[in-house]
Amino acid sequence: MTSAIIDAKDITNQDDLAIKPLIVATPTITYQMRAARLASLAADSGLTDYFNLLNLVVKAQAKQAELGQFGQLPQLDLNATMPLAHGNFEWGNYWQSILLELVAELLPVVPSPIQAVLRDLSGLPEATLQQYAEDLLSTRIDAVPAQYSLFIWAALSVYWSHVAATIEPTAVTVEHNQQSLCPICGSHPVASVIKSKPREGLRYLHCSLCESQWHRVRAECTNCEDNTDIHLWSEKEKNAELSVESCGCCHSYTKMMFTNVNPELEVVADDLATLFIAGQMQQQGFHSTNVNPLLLSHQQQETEPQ
Amino acid sequence: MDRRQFFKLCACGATTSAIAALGLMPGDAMAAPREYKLLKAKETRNNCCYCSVGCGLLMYSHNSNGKNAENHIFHIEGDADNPVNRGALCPKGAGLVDYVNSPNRNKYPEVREPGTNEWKRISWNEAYARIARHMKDDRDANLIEKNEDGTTVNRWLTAGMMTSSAQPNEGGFITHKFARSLGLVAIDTIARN
Repeated sequence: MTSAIIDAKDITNQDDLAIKPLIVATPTITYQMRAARLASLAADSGLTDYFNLLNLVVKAQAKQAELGQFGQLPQLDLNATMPLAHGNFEWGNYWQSILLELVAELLPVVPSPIQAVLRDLSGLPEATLQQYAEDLLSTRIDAVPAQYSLFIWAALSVYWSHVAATIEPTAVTVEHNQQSLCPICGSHPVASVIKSKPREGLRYLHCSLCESQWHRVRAECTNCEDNTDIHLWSEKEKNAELSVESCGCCHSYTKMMFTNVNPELEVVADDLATLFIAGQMQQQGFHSTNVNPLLLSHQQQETEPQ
Repeated sequence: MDRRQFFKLCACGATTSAIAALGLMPGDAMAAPREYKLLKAKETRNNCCYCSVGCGLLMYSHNSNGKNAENHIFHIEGDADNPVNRGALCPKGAGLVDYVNSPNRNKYPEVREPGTNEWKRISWNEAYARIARHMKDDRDANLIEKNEDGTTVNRWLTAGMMTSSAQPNEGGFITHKFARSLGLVAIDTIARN
């Protein structure tokens, strides 16, 4: 008499190398790594002052992600396509208290012109802040004064990544492989991250708001799914740690961070540190479909192909 | 790109980038960040044709942008998204790029006549004519039409056929029909070498 050593439906669960469609956010670790990477890139970035400020902002984010008050978890409709899209749940104004905590954290350590900006920001009426948040989340970035957008987005991101981290990866339906926006919150990706583990070489897109990552097939455009005219641009033929994937069909590009080649790469920091590449790709007629939460520039919105 | 362009990029429309709005644009004294010399390579998904597993590949090629220039493949790696090989390649697959660019590749038919050690280049027409002649002579001489019980079997055991593995279903079907209708029993593909 034979007996099964494993139930048939459990076989796939045993598979460590199976593609996970979604990697749930780990905010504290993400922010700590980002802050460290910003610090190490600052000197050669060409934007040293800005990188130093970002380092402080992201450190404050890491602290809030660990210790912040987030209130009761909101009710989420996990059957919705993007359960954390800003129209799909009551996100309230807990993010505003996080913003005030960030400001309090930053005030003693930033230069005086930025202290002035932070004081103005914390003095804004609640309704105005809520409107700014609504604008940023609806990608009306130009509706928000540029000196505030960085801090507002940082606070929103801490709140969103906190809620996103509570989601069971299996509870959300991720359209298999084929999503150009975050399946959790519907935001744009920052760039592509190539993983070293558990299956080396898989590409994940990193969300610019909730810090989740979702799987996307390689050698296919992350914007239009075409695969007939994909080019990689890099400084080395093989084992480049950073390259750009361009699509000749929709003329968009996304940066690829090969963390299997250089594990220190951090998607947001390294995207900003290679801002130069954006200029070169624009000269070649390609535009970015990605959003960097530490830049939030107007230009990317203008060239948005959707 | 020069410093002025970099400045423009950081400002991104001057009114909206946080870098400019917070007054943190790079000053004149700061060195411009380094320029990237980007090499452009076409990325194509394909399958390894050297065995029946059919591992997924990502192939990288570039050309000289000339009108008649062929794409030159310079790098091949396993396709991590492929459910069969999951990014891994066997030693044969890992050496693919060297097969493709090997100076010893056969590019035209050649013949080594009996009694010589010299390979002589011949035309495709000549090659087909010779192969057909050899096949016909050998089959006429050695075809087994009936077995000991008198049942028709039509076996041709003195010749074998090595077929291509780099062909689609339809090619495989036609190859099979062709070989079996001649009575060939020994058929194999280079996929099992």
